[in-house]
Amino acid sequence: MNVSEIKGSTNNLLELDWSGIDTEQVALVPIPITSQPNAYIRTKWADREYGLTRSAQLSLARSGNKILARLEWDKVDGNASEKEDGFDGEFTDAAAIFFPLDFVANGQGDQPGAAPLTIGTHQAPVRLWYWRDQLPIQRDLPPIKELYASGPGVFRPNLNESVRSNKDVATTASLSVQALKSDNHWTVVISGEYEGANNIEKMGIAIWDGSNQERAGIGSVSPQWIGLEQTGRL
Amino acid sequence: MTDRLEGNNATANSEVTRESLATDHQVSMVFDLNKCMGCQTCSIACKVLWTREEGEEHQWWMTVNTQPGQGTPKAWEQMGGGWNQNQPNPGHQPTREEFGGGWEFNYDEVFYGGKGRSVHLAPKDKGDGTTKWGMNWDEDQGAGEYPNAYYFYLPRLCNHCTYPVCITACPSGAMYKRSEDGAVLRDEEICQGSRFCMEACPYKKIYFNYARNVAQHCILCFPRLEVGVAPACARQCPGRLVFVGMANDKNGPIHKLVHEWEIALPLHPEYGTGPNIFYIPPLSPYRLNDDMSIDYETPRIPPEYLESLFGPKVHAVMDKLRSELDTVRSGGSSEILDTLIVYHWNELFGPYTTDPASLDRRPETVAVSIDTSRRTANRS
Repeated sequence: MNVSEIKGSTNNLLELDWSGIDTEQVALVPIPITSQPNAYIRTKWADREYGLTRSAQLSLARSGNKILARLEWDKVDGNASEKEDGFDGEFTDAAAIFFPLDFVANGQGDQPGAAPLTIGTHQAPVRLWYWRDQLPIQRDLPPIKELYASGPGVFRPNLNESVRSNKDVATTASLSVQALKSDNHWTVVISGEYEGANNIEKMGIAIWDGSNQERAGIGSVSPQWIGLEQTGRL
Repeated sequence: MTDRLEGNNATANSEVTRESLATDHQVSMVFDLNKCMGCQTCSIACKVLWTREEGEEHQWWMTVNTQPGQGTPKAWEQMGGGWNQNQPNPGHQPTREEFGGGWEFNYDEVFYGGKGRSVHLAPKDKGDGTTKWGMNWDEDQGAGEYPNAYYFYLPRLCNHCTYPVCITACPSGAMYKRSEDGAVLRDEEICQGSRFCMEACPYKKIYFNYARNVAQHCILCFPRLEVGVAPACARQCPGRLVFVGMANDKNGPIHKLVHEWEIALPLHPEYGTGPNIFYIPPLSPYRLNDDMSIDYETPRIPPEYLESLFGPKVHAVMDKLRSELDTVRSGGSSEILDTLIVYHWNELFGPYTTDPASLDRRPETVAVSIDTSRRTANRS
């Protein structure tokens, strides 16, 4: 999809003027059970349905060094049988966009790069901008944060040692988000500064349905990289 | 599901296995249930020390429940988790309603609102079910019928297991077992609040901090251990029933009670996690017959019930304890009973006898920052 400069102010993310910006309907799939990071999760979720969100609408734009992403999707009702199990709705919906880091660890440059299907691998992590709807008591927490993902749910605030020593990684800053849920339809707009924003070539998205207890590697993901064509470069 | 894609197993290469988790050094505790009077001093000592912040209201890292009973969280023994033939067993994540607690009371209304004669002091119902259960909700109910009713108290905290299944269930690698003392800890900077640890723990002793979006549990008072102070639950116990020490210290009471005399047992050993909290099972009076004569063959607490908690070894333990009592009653001496009596308070605490009041700085005021370099090497 084409990525171009957005017009106007970017102060109010839900009021951005997206006219002239490419929008793409992205198919999502459940993150594979075989790729889940440990036996506990693979066993617990082996026979349970997850990855309920099967498509999302993505719009992507630049504003100087900022990347602006708008995600929209319809929320699917959670698993009724789980509610009978006593679950009281304490997981919240979440979404993320992620970008490959431009290297793989330990000098294994001939290995394939990061895989979107698993949200990165140990050898090739991805940069994850992770938004989560918040409970009222979580008012003091940042609604979005940057994480490094090296597998489904293997999300950490820092790169692992082997990767960190391999190469300096450009930092990002000033993440912000605004989200609106209306009639079970989510609109989430993410903004973040990204050094080299106009050179990003691909990205992925992931969505978690909280009412189905989806979290970590239990969610939906774009199975292939979403190719980005930067237009109107500065 | 039929439409799932097959992924790679790249991330599974760094999986933590059950056998990789054991540490060479392990701080253990032994609770003598014959001396526990259910006063909850241990619970309060822990509560005021570690869980006073917003989001921690319902957290009781140390609890004392009446047995038989449903305990906390409600009916926790039916919630699954643990190991099953070296494979993690799926478990249920306890809900706020099942934990209960964290109550706010109507103090203003009763004490200052002019309704002291018409309104009873009671927890405010926040609509989330938490006022329908609590950390000691079924206290002193027990079981049996008069004159053979019975109950005893069971203090519970994180077992800092030798094979902690909670660590293996965490996808982000936030949890680890410390090599120097075997404490099972969590790096809250890494924890993403996914709560698989809560499901996997068969003892259901992990709580969720809703305000901070991280799981939390007993930290074995490790900042106190580091300066030679015993955990608060042990040091504050007025009944002198909590022993603390290194499990491999052959001169210490832990080693003697657990390994040499074999009279201290883990709770639910069948869960497979290798708990490092042990219990001296409770003796009880003999049952009374219908004519109020004593049935000297049958203790009031059914042995099969104790077996359901502590496993089949409990019968040999009870026999040994009764034998030691008989020896003393007939004029002999018993090193086991002398140890359990605890003539000198500090004998409970092994190497952790430092008085916190003697320190320049109270250990609990030291920031609980986790130095990741001190982790045991159980994660590649």
